[in-house]
Amino acid sequence: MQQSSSYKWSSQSFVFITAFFICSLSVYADVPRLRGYLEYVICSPEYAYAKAIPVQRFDGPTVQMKWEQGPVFLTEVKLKESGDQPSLWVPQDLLVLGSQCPEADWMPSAVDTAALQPAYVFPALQRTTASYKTGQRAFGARRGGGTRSHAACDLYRVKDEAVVSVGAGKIIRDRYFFYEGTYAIEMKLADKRVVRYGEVTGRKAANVSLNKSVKKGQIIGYIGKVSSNCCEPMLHFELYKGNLSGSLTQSGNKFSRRADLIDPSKFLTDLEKDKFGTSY
Amino acid sequence: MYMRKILSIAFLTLAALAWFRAESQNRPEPGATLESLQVLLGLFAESSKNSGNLQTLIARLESLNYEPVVVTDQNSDTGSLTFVRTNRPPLGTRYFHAQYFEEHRPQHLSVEFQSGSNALELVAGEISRVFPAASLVEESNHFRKWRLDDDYLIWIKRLQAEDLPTVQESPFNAYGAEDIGAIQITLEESIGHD
Repeated sequence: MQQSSSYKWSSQSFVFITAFFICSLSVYADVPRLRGYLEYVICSPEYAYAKAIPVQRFDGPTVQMKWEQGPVFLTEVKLKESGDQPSLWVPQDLLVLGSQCPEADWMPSAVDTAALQPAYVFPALQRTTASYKTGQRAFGARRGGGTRSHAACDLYRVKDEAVVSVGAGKIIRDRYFFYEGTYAIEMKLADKRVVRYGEVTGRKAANVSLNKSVKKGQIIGYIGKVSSNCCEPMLHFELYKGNLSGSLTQSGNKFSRRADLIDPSKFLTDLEKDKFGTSY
Repeated sequence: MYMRKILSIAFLTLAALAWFRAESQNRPEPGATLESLQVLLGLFAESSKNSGNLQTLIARLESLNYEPVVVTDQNSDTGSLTFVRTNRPPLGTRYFHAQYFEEHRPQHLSVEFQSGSNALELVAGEISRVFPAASLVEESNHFRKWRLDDDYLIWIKRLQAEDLPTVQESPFNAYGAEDIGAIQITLEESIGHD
């Protein structure tokens, strides 16, 4: 009798120790480093592999549980570009990064090399409202009280107006936070040069995503405006030779940029003349 | 026989723990919001100093039980960009977001603080306390910007109705009309027009 009670006690202890051990593991396990772009998809044909953003609320995480032959955890999401449409609850395990859901056509597309002919077009739809070669808009203009130099030409235009690809190439980095609430997109041209389109809005252009090829003149983003009152809506246009690799933003020189940064003024002037018959 | 009993007890224990976790996540703890702001601004301060590398940030978020999510986007031309988000933001805050081009220094850190009658002033006061050397360089009704040093700026913005169409295009965060008044807090590398 005594033996049996001691056995019962030890089996219960075993259960609780095991449960404690499993929970501890989940707390102390290393955070996995995932690969891909930070964009989620509901990985199920039932949801048409829709792109979604997990909703977070100020009064706590948005998790619910329902019982369907076992516990099912639900998470609140908004479908991308759904504006003020209400959010919906989806099973938590269906919400994954796009790179973890190959069925959703998230794998890099093959680059259409035939389309990658070196030919270029001015990235703004209309002439800029001010010269991009003078004042604070010019490449090399003073920044940071003289500690830095401007790494781009600023093309002043109208907020939300389309920005087009200067040439054929491939998107090598999709939208990320750039400066004061605006975003940047990085693109490799067919001639190996790299362009960073900065200060664009977060709006996704049709058929533009990571590793997709784009054609000359294709819309790749939209003109943004920074949060402060410093300046007009603009495209911040950076150009790199492309003979180096690594992050475009780097310390170590007056531009705080990768060493193969080049002045895009002449490149843009030629394109402006081609498109509008005149230039600043 | 005993094994079946043990397994069913283990299953029930784990299910109960999972249930309790989900329920506790949905239970607000009043009065914790200022503390959340202070913890996050402290993290911003640590991260923008030399000691604040990516691994340290992840470890700190993990120790705070914020459930960090780390995603690295890499290509052979422009290197890697690592995003850090959290699945479990502290009360009164949301949408923590960090970007690292290089492991030893963040390019961008941001979070949002809940709206309130004096939320902008509250956040501004905490920034002045956490970053005593910061110099205010721009101020308006809904926006403030400080220079921290040669490398970093911090700015805050109260979300206005006219901002909604723009923020609703965000690739990372979801917004609705109920978010007007929320305070965006961003510490980022000084690479812009300043």
